[in-house]
Amino acid sequence: MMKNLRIILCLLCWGIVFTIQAQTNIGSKLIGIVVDSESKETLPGVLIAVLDTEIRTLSNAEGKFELTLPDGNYELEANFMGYEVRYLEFSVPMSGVLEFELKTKEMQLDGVEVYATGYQEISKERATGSFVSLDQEMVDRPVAPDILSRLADVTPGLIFNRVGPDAEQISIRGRSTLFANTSPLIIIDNFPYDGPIELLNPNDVESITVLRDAAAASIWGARAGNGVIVITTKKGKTQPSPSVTFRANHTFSEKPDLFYQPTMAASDYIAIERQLFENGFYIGRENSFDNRPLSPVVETLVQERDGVITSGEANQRIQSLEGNDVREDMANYLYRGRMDAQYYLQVSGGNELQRYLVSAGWDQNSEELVGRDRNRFSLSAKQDWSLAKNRWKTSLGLYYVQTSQNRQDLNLQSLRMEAGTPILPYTRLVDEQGNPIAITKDYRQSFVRQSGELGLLDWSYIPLLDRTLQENNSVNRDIRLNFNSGYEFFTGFNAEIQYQYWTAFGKSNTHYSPDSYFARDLVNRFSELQPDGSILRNIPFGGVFNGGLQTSHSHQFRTQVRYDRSLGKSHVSALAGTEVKSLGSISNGFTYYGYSDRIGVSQPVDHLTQFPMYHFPFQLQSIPTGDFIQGLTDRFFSYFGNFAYSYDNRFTITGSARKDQSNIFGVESNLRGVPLYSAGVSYNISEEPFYPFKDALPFLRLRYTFGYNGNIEKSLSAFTTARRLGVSNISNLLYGVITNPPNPELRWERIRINNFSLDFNTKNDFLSGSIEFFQKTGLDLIGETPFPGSSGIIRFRGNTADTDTKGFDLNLNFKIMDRKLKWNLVAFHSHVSEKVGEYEIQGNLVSILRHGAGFGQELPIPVTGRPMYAIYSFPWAGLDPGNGDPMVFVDGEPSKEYAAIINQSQIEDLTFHGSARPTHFGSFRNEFNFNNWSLSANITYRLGYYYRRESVYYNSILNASGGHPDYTMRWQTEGDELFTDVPSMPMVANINRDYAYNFSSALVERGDHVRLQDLRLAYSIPQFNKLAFKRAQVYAYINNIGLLWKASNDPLDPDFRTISPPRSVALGLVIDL
Amino acid sequence: MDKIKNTINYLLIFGWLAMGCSGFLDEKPDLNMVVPESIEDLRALLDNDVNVMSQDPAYHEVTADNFIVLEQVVNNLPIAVRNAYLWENDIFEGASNPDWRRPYEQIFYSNVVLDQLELISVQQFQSEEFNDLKGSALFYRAYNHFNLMRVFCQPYRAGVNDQGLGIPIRNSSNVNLISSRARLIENLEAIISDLETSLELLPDFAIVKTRPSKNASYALLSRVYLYVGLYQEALDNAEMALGLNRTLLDYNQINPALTRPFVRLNEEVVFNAYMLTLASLVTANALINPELYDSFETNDLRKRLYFNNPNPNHGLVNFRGSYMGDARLFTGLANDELYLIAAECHARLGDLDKAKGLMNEFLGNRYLTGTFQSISESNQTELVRVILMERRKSLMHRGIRWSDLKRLSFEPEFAETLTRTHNGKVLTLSPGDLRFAFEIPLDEIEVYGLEQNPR
Repeated sequence: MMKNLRIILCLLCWGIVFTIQAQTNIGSKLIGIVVDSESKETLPGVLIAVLDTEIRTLSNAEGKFELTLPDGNYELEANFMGYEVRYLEFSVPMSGVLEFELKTKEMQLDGVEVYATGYQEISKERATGSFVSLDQEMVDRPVAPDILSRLADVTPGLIFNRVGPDAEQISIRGRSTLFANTSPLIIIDNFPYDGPIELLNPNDVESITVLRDAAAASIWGARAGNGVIVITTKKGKTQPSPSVTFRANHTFSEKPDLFYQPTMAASDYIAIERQLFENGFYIGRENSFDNRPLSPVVETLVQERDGVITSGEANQRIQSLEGNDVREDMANYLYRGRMDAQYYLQVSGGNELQRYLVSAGWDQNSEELVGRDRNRFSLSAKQDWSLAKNRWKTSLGLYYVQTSQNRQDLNLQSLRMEAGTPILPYTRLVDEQGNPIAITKDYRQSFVRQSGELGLLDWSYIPLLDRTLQENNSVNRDIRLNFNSGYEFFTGFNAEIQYQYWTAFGKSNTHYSPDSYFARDLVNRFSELQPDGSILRNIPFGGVFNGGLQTSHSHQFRTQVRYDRSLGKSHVSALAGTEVKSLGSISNGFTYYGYSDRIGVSQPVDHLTQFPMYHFPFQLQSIPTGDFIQGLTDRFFSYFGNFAYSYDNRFTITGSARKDQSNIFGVESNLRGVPLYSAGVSYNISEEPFYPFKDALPFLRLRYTFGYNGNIEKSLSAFTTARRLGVSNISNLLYGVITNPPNPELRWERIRINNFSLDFNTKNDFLSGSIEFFQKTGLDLIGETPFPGSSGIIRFRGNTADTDTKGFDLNLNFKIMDRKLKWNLVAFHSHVSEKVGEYEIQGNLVSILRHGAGFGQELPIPVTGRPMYAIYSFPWAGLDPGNGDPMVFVDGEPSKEYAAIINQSQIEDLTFHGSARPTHFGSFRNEFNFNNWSLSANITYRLGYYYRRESVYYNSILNASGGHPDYTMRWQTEGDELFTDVPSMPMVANINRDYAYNFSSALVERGDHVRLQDLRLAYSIPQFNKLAFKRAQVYAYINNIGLLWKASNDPLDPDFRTISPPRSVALGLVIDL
Repeated sequence: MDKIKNTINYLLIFGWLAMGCSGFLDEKPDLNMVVPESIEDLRALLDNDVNVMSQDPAYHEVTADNFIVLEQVVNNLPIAVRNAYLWENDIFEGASNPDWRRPYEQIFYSNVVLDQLELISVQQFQSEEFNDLKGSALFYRAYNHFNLMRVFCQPYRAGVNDQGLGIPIRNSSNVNLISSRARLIENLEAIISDLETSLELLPDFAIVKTRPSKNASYALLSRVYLYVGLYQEALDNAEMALGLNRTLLDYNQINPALTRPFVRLNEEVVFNAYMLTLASLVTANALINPELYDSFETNDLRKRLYFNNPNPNHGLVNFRGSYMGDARLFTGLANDELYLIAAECHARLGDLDKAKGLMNEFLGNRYLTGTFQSISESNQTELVRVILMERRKSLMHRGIRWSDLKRLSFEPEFAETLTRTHNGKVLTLSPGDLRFAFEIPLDEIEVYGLEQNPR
């Protein structure tokens, strides 16, 4: 729309010169000047038109213009590219100079007038689909190193998930798949971006558009099923002199609160160790050959039992540990407050023929773990040319980003005594004088001592010293080249080619120095004591170097023709084209042993022979290798087209279709492609003559769309597929594994979307907004069907499932006050209700219960008629007053038949509480402007969901793996059942008893809460001519302020169970020179 | 570089002309992925002895009486192991059962290979590799059907309980076929038929003993026939196998100082297979039944090579003598087993001299040189008993004991009753107990309607 306007304008300019020359010299002379409203610089070349006449002129090099007009009242229009059109009424004759102040378009508060889809820009008035756009002001509002998080809490329908795997960071209007990809498609400058989005410098972003329904997104076809996020980067603007912008900000975050998550006190932990010792729990381990470690307390008890030390000594030693809390040392030595700094410099400018924008950014982050730092350097250069009288437009963009990360931090896992146990609560990292000390790790203390005496490398582990003995460095470089060229063959008809080349290079190296525990431990484990007392080292003494490299590149090429023209009351806009994409990536890794970084030399090792482990000679192992090579290829070939027809700004119909074909492995050609289409209508009812509410509700529009988007799961195939895994350590023969049983019916997932919306605007814009109702139906979804073992497979993945999602998005903008004090309230409320269709799997009950909110990186188990993420429980029947055993209701009767409860209950016997993800969410953002001050605060909320509180697993406690501090509230004597739901400690670990309690309704809580998310205060420094800048703003941004309300009594934040999001304060500055 | 050039060419052609895109889209998405169509790819599936093939059921080693667990440790065992050790009716309590799943997975792999071989081009047909591969797939199918039958069915004596409940026979890679329980005689016939066919296809010896061979097929046939009490057939096949290779390890040549004295794929091994790893079976908690340990004489080198030194705390020992050469327990086929089968069959069929001859040859390699005293037993039953005792000692932790207990339950003179004490209670498992057939997994019953083993 804007583009077209400019073209028309430029064409007019050429014609106008003649018109001006033809002027007759009658009437009064009028002198005017055009200046930039901000900088007050004069603007040359501005088109000045006298409305309702043929009179036109251009401002001269000093920004001045002269007109001669007959006496009377007139209205003048000043129009200049990149600025808002300005109108001015006046009467002739007049004395003095008429001054036009033009405002740059980017400063406009109303946001973008077009929606970018990545293929074209659709004018807001003629769009039928569901779009949300964020202009630059919104993009810049939060301070964060990445771009995606800036969509959080301001985008109706979009939520940042706090349960589920990391890959499922964002959902747009729910989740319409079970096991396929769940990420929205991300477009940067017209093409899907294949790299990690964290690489994009958010300062380079001009606007973001989110495509939510089929009409908006179906142009993206098979990859649009999860919604599309279209990011447009900044471009140079026509302006008389180059503009320079500098931005900087620093974010200071609180140190993470390690005491947030309650853990069992050292004294309780020790009491349990004592009890287990008395029960003989450690006998097996003491007698074992593998020299597994015993905790300091248990070692003391062993010595006491064996008479090495007296009881008094033992008690004293143990008592001295009881007061320790490992979190104190961790907080003191391992953590710090995170600090982020961002600097950005941008130079842009240009004229009608050529525009440019060059920017550079530098980010530096020191993360909360001491020793972990990263930085990002980004450089971008963009050129736009308009040639051949504006008919030929070409642009070229080049982006370079480099990130590096350096880690000399302590992996918290390494503080564990051995894998699978918690960090012992009484561990100290330093002695009384603050000197780093060794902790018990992997082996028994006596074994560590003995092996040292026998000549093995020192086997002790001192965490705080070890931290600097290993180092991980990773570097990623990402280069993107965009080229676009289009020619307007006749009015409104354009042909374009677009091409993007992308390449990324990443490397990650970890070097363990010879003195690091990792290297010493590995060398020692592969050492053998020879009969003559010498040590044979199967891994040579020295450092260990693990390296990994990844390179990727993609070509994307698009040709398209566009037609966009108004004819009378009609407007037609159409687009058709083809697109091809090829993406390849290769990654490999390697390990060097005996490595010396001083001379860069490593030594060969024998990876084939199996050697006995020094600490456990019965176990034979070959020397681990980090060698691997992997390659991925993605290929797409697509056709697409869309069109829109509007009549009289009242009716619009739109349609779009796309066919994608890809190299999904083995699918027959005819099934490879999937045609996806959409259709939409909009009706601007307020334009009708019969519309009765013109005063109260001057704008009212109805929209409806329908269509299909697709989704992809590339890991499946129609054929039996296998994977070569490597060489068997038994036979030294190559071996493979079957990854898919044959599935000739395999096809892509489809999502059918209906969207119905109402847009409105009250008188004087007091309230404007929209409400959109949607229904998304996932069809042909890849689902799992369980197969009994005798079939040869456990489960089968095929297009067997469906889902149904319903909801609405309400978006409201109130202009509460519009005087000197401006007060706007922007609010949205989204509702999503999801359910899985008929699903055949009868997943194991424990998995359904445990995975309800996702389990680490694992997905929940779908259940017919329920949301994918859901909380279920056993109905709680309280504790047995006699012995504190947990009881749950089975068929209305309290039961303690734990094995039967767990194994024989059906999903129908469970209580379904509700979704584990919010079904209602939204925000209220108040914005105040007063003089040069502006303040905005975002209050967010999430409602209508449940979570399961963590509690005690005696199975873990009785296996010496620690437990939840609810342990202290356990049932101990009769009567306790009146005050507590925590069961008594059983004599023998019984996991089913633990399940009955932990999966009972006693621990299910409502997750509903309201949060004051953030606050931003900005001050625009008033312009003084003597200062060297055009515009300057300083701001402060406070994030993660805190909960205002929550439904549960649980002291922890419903959404952050292990660590609370640290509060942070950012201070920043923007200067335009 | 070529790749990039190619891509650019493709881009030019396809971008503009929008046609002929078949080659472009045929590129596989993942470098490491293959459609197993060639003999080489299929062979790689059967060579997967890391995740799938040659992995045998393990829980029946827990229910057998080769090892014990200290009373305090029993409660700390994983649930299924504890249930198995205490001979509970239901070991897995509805959880997934690897002893059932893994053999059927191997049968599925065999069937994928057999079905793909049907589609393979004529040139390759009847080649040596083709026959070898087909024979191998048939061997694996039989091997696993037999393993399942030994664990999930009641003991079978040919001609006595032919109509007893067998296990489902799977002969197709189509995963949608419904399973149903065959009769025991049908199980036996299917196993014998696969093995007989494999004999026509396999070479005498495989290049690596992880692969099946004619030698292995004879050995397996002999093992199967012995289990069902067909002694003549068992003897014939044992002799065919020993005819190909009758090497025995001389235990005097084995170094007892090594933590794992035996080498993997040694001269005595016919076909390599091992038990699914049960952590509890390989740790110090699995203590050798003291009665069994004490039955080894001092000069018996097996005592030195099979076990480590007694633990000072309780005087009991752990097993270290696996022919896998590591912590995994060897359950494949080996010449020692064939000697013992042949000797037992000779003795049972009345040829006591041949039986004694074989035993003396065998045990001569097991005792310290010059200390072995030849067997001179002249009573048939007593001789069988002696051979069975040596079988028990030699083949301990080979996955043999449970099926031996089952087959011997038909003969009152050899049948044994097992007892264990737990929490002051004496548990017993008598010959013919229903618990000798493990429960069929629940999902098989629910989905396919298989009949559950009675309790």
